Amino acid sequence: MSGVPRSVRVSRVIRAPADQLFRAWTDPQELQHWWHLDENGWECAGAVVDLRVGGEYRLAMTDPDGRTHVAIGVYREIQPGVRLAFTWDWENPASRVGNTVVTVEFRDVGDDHTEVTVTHRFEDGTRIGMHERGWTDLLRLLERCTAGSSRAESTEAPG
Amino acid sequence: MVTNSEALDRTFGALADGTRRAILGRLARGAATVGELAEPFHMSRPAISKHLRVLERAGLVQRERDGRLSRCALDAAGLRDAAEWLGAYRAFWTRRLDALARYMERKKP
Repeated sequence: MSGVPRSVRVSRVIRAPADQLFRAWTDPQELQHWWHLDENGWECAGAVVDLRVGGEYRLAMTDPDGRTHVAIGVYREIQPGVRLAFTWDWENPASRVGNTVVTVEFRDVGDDHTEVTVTHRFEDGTRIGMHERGWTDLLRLLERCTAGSSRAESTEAPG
Repeated sequence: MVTNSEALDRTFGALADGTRRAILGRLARGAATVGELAEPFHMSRPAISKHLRVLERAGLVQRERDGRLSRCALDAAGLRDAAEWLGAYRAFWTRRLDALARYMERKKP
């Protein structure tokens, strides 16, 4: 499908130096410790990391029902303490999404704090490919749709 | 993160077309018959019907029967499902960053 790539971006300021956070993302031992920390019933069931451009990673997670979900991908960019980019997909063929890339950026914001920004891009050719215009319109429609129904509810309310 | 890839493929395929987006825009203002939809687009009824079938299959539009009259309306549930798919990934990465922050706090001496 043609169209502009679409992405999800989240960021958070964390009290730790950038190189320590970079290590947490790239050291398999560390990943095991935090990836699902405190999430009810979720566990990290193993991390394999071949940290070089073109190297593969494999991140297994077990859900509360004991099912295992494995994220797989290849490192595309490795700049210690600055930036990490890797492809992202699910190993299970039924869950495959295709061409998606996750970028993790580390920005020193001073006072021993670092802003970590994760951008997950669903590129052209992504199985669930999407169109930028279509997406924005969809959200706008949904908004209008929901606003419309709540108005209708209030007029119908007994008074 | 459970996703129904095929259904979403259909949704975004349906949204990739300008006429279909315009039809959805019209339906956001209220249900309409095929004739009412055809008029502003200067298109034949069969052409509009074809677009409507794509939108129906994508779960974005549903037909309402009112006696002999058939009206088309937005399918709010379908729209919501599609919108929430990206939201699921946003929630996933937000939780990962929360977990990382907790881990770093615990590591502090």
